[in-house]
Amino acid sequence: MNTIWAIGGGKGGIGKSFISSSLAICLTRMGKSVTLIDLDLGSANLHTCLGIKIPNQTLSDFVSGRTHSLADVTTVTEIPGLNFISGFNDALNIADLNRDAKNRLIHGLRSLPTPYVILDLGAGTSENTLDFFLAADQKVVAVTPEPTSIENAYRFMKASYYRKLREAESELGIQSLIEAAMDSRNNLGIKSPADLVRYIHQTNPEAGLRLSNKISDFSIQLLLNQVRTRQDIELGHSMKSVCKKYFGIEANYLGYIDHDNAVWQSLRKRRPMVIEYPYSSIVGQFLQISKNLLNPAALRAVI
Amino acid sequence: MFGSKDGVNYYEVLEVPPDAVPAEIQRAYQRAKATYSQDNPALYSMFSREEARDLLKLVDEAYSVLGNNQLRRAYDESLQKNGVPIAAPRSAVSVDHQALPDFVVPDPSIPGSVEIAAAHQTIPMPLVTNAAPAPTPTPAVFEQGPRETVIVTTSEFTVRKRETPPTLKPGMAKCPMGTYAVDAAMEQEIAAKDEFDGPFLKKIRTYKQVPLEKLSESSRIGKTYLIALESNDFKNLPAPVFLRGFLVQIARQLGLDENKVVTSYMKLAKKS
Repeated sequence: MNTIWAIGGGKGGIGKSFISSSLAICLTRMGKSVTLIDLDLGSANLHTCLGIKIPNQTLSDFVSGRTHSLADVTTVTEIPGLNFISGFNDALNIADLNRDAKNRLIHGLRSLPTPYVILDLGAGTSENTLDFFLAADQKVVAVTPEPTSIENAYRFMKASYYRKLREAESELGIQSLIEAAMDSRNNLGIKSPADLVRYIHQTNPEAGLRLSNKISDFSIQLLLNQVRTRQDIELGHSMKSVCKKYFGIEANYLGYIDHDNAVWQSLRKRRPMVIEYPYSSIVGQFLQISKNLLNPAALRAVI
Repeated sequence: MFGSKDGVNYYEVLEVPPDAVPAEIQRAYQRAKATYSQDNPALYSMFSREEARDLLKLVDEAYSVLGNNQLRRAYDESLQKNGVPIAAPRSAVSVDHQALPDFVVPDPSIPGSVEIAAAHQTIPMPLVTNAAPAPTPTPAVFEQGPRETVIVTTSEFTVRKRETPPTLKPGMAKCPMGTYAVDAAMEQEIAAKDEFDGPFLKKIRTYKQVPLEKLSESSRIGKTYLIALESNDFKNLPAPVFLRGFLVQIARQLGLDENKVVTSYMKLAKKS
């Protein structure tokens, strides 16, 4: 079974595609083979980040059932070890993905031949995007230091957290509680998911324990992009703490990427940053982040 | 939110493990303080201002306990009573763990074991507390006693001279140039005098038992100038700007009011 990394973050234009393509190339540089998948369906442009042409076969062929294997829509790129699956090329949108096709796709991801799979998620918090995010082993939330991006990142985290809870509630039969708690004007004093879990623990310890187990694998990896100042770097620690206090979940501060003009310059040349400027500090940061993601235990040990 | 006291664990508030060393607690506190202070963009859309203020209050409260070693120990005990397992703080310094005794888990059924455990927990570690600052050891430099003054002389020798504490005999007074016998009438005359001319300055100098040579050496004014100055021989005195400097020096050495001496003598020199 392979390992899936998903790069999400809610807001558009914060560098999700850039991050996923850079992480994928970094992994190939470490000798791992990777499949990079553009799940920004409808507005796919990951191929541009990689500097390759739009492949003839895309995910829409798989989703529409024209082909039954993801291998048919996989493009082997010039970068050794990197496979690429392009998103929709036509007017289809991620919202058009029906439940059946989605399950087939998630199942297909797990049976891809490469040991690592990186999903470039689109902007927004549509249910399909959230499901791909939740299906991943490493859930990376990209955020830039702008308030708009931070707001959307939190919204994205909230949406995926509640989706996870809803998944749990149907299994555990605590639906009514969550429904009551989600009403912001409840009189139970519940204002955040952390309060909710605490409340369930108090009222029904057994259900609380099962709920905690269920959501324990919901851990977020925070990745700060376009960092310019020292305060920006500290923002990651603050967001980690807010996640802990608000969701009651452990978020990891994965690392940060500097703001660098070389990024858009390499994008205009349509050459991946990691290949164009392999010795830049940004690429060093990406390599470090890839290492941290490869070995989460090492990351915890550092702190 | 964290309003109810019973549900709050101070370690969770500061997001530190229960065995955190004081330095970790300190850093976590600073970070939490920065996070929940107003206008941190990381709070935006998650916590309202009031909630952030409450959290900040809680963070302060947690640190006031965990930041103080005694209060922290008492808090740990109260947690333990409520069934929350607490580990003793890790040692922050890189010590040889083999050489340290293992932590003894207190077993109330064995008499004396709790005391032993408490004794074992007093392993020396760097304490970073603001509530109980450790007394700073007084550096040896500030030790009291007869002071030794190092005087560098021109003859390339460094002479260590023990400065004798001033023991003035009754009826003696001190000026920067040495001691002299006090004459009440003379003191009064000096205090009353507003205009200092050459002869009067000489009178004070002889009264204070300062030889001309000594004054010349300490004030770095040539003897001829001093003689000219004391005899109101204005023609042989240097330009006013230098004379002013000389007067300041002499007034200081003799323990006189600089201003009075300079203004009155300069007026005199100008008139001539």
